[in-house]
Amino acid sequence: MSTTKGSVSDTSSRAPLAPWRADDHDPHGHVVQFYSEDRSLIETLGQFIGSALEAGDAAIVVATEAHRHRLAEELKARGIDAPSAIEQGRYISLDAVEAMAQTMLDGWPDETRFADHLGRVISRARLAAEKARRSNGPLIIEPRVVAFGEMVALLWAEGRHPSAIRLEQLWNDLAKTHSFSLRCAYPMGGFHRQEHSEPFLRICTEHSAVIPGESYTSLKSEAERLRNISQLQQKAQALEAEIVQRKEAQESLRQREIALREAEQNAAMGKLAAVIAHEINNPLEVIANVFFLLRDHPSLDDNARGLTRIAEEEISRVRHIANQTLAFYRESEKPISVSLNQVLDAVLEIYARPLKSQGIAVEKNYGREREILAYPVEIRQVFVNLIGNALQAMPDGGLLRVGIHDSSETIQGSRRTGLRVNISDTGVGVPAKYRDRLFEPFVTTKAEKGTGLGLWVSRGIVQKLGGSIRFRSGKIGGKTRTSFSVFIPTGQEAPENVS
Amino acid sequence: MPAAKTATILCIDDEPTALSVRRLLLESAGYQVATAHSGEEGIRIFKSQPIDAVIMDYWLSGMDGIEAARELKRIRPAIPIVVLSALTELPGESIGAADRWFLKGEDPAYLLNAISTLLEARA
Repeated sequence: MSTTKGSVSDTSSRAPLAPWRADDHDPHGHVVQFYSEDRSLIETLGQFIGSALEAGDAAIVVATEAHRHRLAEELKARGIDAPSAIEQGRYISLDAVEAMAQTMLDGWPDETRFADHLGRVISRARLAAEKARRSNGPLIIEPRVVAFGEMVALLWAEGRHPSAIRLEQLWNDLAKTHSFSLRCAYPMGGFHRQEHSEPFLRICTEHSAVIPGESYTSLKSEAERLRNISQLQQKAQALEAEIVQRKEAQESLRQREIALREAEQNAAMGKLAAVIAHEINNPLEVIANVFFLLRDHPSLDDNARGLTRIAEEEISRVRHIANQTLAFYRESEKPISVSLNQVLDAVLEIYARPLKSQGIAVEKNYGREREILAYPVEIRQVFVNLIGNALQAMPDGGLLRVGIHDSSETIQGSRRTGLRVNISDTGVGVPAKYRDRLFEPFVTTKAEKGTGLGLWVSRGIVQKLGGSIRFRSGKIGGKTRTSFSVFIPTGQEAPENVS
Repeated sequence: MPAAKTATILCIDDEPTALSVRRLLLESAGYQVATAHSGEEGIRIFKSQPIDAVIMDYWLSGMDGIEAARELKRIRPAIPIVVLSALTELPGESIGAADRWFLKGEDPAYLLNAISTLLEARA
């Protein structure tokens, strides 16, 4: 069964024959048309079906009731005598919903049902067209069959995308046994989501030709079309960039929401922590004072004094754990200008007694007075921890160096000026096995004497100020030296070459 | 005994037990101690007798510790003041109101050491 190409003339005078219309004449063509307005679909469909009917060919339409009605009006307006063609049986118009019911099984396009139903319709229309032609004389040219199917568009609109693609494949399978030229149409509005890109491409590849939307097909000249393609490419580029920006914005928003939730949790924890701290520290002071007084009380024998010392050590542990943990959650207030020199001096004063009793020499190298914006209690906590660690590392004496100097550091890609506090000791050093994990919570080099929270808390405090803590521990000239370096930015951005 | 240890320390706290134990602590270190249970009482005592240093609670009922400390400093700017707080932090603007501040429960030796240093510096 075959038809001769070019045997059908396009009689429409409304629109010029565009290049993509060539496939209308392919007896095996399976063309998909995308459209924005129904008016555009009906107009091209009127041309497609109308030219076939006018040429005495067969036509089959499987469309929605609304489209069938509008097509009938369009054909009439074009002067096509559709009712006669229907009477002759060479024009068959089917309701898409009913046709779908007859070709689907359990909600999925059924190969056998589809082939039986549509195959019969095509054969019937062809025979009717042949009969009509013979009635006018000998059959010289066999009639062709054109078909328009809209079941796929209905399935797509219902979100049954795999079913729509399957139905397209069944139409292609049917074309292997029946000769017909098929047109499908989808409203472009059904492909508005990014995830439609892949199935959209699949739909296109299931067809031998694609008719783009009317914003393109309505263009008259090649120059206009090329301009339009360039414009669409630019829009696609802009949209892709916007998608990337939007994704970044969404991610940024998500991160901010997480940060906000964390801040809210921290604020709640901060309030709770303040209450707990208050409730613990008040009685703790009384207990600590009582044991301090008992320590050398003349009424106690050596055993009892030993017990008071154990109690004092345990009180110290309670105090340490409570304050380290609670200090981590703080209510946000504005940082104030704090003199690093004064903070370090105050901390050294706190440790005056152990420094003396352990025989530790202190070398201070502060230079001029330097101030940072910080929370005084927090920044003091950092140096209480670092200097306290240095003291514990030197039970048999040594040298504690405390220095402040101007510095700069690259933080998150930008060079920041600031202040650096170096605290170094000549103590036992940090064993290699702890070096990678020193700032993790509960990691301690001090066995049962340490909580493992000090450096973790300190790093958290310094990071909140936008700074960093680093450390080095190793042997220099046969002596072990451990140095902690705290960098606190003072806000200005420095040129890259500042060291 | 160094001259500083004969000094009189005014302790202000609205917790009677804490106040009495702190008095014992300071007396054990050789200081004379005057006590007050409120900021207002502390100011009255401060005005009526020679006081060399003040140790006070931050969170007092009635006039709070910082308010009282500011008033004491207004009366005599050179008076050394140590504020004790049970909170792990103090509001930033409070810091300047005292010469030293301590977290309650810290080793009492630190407090004694700080008082001694402040008195020696003043002497």
